[in-house]
Amino acid sequence: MDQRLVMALGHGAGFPLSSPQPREFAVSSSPQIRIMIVDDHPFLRDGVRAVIETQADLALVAEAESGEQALALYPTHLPDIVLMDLQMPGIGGVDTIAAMRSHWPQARIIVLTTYSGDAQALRALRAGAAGYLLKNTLRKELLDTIRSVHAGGKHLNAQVASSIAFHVIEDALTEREIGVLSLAASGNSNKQIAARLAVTEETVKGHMKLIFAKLGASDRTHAVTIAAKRGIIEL
Amino acid sequence: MDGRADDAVTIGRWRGVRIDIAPRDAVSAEVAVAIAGVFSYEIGRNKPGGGLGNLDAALGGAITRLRADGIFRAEPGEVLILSAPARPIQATTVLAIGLGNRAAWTPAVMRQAVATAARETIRLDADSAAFAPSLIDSGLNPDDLSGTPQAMLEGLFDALPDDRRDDGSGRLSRWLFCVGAVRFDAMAEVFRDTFDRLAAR
Repeated sequence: MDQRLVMALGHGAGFPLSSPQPREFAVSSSPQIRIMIVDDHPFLRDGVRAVIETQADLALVAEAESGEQALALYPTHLPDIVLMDLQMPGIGGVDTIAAMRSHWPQARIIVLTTYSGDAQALRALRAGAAGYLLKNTLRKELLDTIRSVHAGGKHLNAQVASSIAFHVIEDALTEREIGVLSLAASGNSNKQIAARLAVTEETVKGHMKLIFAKLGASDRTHAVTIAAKRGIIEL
Repeated sequence: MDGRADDAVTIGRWRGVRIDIAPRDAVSAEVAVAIAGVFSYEIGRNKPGGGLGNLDAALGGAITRLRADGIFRAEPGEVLILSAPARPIQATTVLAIGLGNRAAWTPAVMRQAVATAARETIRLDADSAAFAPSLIDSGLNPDDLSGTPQAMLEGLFDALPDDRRDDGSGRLSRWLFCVGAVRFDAMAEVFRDTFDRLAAR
């Protein structure tokens, strides 16, 4: 397990001391749906809080700005719903979802993200997310999604679901191919990638050829663009 | 969207909801929420046919893909909501409701599915919904479906509390059951007779 996950799960306040303290609210025994938001952008947290505060049946009980903070706060508050960003410093959203669901299988998690890419969404859903929302649809869909997921359902944006299905006919990139493409995206030549991975340059060329074919890309720039858009790699 | 297609036939009214049937499916029904029953698998083929097949195709294969991946297992009463679907789907929300193992299906499963879907529709504050059971689309024998209209109506009644018009809970005012075009008139008669019998209880 990632050492950062071990730290977060092994201690009551496992997040780094230099990190801003997470925001906590009073625990209530009301029948409201109790929500925790995990996002490193304070404006997003403020916006979601403002929306939730208008709803009598919802209550924001905790805020965290990282996966580590979320894992530390979860057992204290045991929220009914966790709203989770995917792109955060430290452990990412997908790893946080997997760790949360592993330790607290009852956790109901909704992803809030700007990424409509199929690979990112599929990873989050396989990790145990019950909802997947694009941030540009929050105004219309957030409240319905919270209530549906709290009732036990799953809720996805149809565009994301179709994107997942659309790419199923393609061969998925292997972990090695994703690693090669990530290094290429960082500006490494085939020779440099070969040195980093302790393989021959010919092996790297072979990987790149397969990557182009699987993604339908014409060159390495095109492949990087497609992979980033679909959430296969992060830039 | 009032949930009433031109080819719809009204079966009756129950606790503020007009109940229609029409030879539509979850793609063509002009309602706020289009609901489709989904089994955990189809026998002898990988994809459903008929209206459910049309819905899955309109969603780019999303329902069967999510089911194959275990993200939506289609267990009895399991709910998958797909918001803001693109055309040709007329509804603003698609709700897939699990029917479980096809071999273990009984009308009681359908009653629970309709009740769960109706409660979710009310929770979404939708004013209209269409329910496509997708039984024949998924390979069930039409001869084995007796009791299904009663189960579907009972499921809807289960979800509509006695006082819903008094306390203002939910805006749901139209409910459409999608049925096949074949023998539509006979099916309408069965639904009407069943409704009258249940309403008189």
